[in-house]
Amino acid sequence: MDHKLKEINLTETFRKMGRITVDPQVFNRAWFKVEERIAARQRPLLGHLVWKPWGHPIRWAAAAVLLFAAYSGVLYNNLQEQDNLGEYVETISNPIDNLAKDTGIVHLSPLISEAPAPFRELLLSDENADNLANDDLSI
Amino acid sequence: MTELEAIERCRQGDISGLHVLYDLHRTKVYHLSWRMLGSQHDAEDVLQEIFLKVFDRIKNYRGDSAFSTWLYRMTTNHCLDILRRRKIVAFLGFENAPEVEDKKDSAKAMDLGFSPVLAKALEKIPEKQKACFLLREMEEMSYEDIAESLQLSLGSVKSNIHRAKAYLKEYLEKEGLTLKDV
Repeated sequence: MDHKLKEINLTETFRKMGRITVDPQVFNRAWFKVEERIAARQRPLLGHLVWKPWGHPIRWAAAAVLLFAAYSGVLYNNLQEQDNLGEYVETISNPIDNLAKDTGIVHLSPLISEAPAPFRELLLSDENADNLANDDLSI
Repeated sequence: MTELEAIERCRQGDISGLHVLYDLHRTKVYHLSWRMLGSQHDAEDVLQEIFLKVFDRIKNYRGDSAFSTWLYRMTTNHCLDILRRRKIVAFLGFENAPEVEDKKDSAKAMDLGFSPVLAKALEKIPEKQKACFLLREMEEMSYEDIAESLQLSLGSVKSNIHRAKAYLKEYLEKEGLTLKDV
């Protein structure tokens, strides 16, 4: 009998505990957050801007391909630059050797190959000389 | 708006339907998760998560059982997941951080008239037993509903509740409390 009475009390105690009033602020706060999270999900622009490659295995593969392409692009560019630089250094460091390798095509500078400009004589003549300069000479 | 109408609206993606369901069931979900996890802060988080889940998964609710049964099943499973994760965290050696929170919560529990001794006793009961016990004693659910909620057999529910009660009695007697004092 005593045992039965104790068990009833335990049950009552727990049922009373289940009816404890909670501060309504707790529920308002939780609802506000629920609403906010649902609204955030429904914003399509933001949803598309944030890309999460860890969301799906195919995205992992896409991310890996992109990384590989970017890395090999950078590597190729570096190799090209190194080749160009090596060629340039070789050219300037051993000009005689380069001349020996010349296949016979002579690249002349336009200063040597072209005819003199027609105004050359004009520059050398005293015809239009400055008067002031003549005065100086007379002194 | 009735519960059925709210469910239908919620299925159509209308948040006002979810609000009605929230107002109807928030207290019970909160209490259940509070008792399961022993922390008001965690219970608030669970409340949010559960109603977000409701909004996402309402299309899966076929209406075979009561909505509250479906909701409690989700809440209990969510709490059991959290407790399992906590066990892993404790195993990895990070168990000190949640204890500080628990102490604060036991102080809050005292303010609300919730006995900290009982809270401690509840913490020590295995999760499944605790879930059965709380649904029966605090939420006043029938054995059949508990069995459906937790996807257990009727016999298993009864034995889990019996074991939980026996453990509580033993624990409280060890603490020097008679049941009338609780």
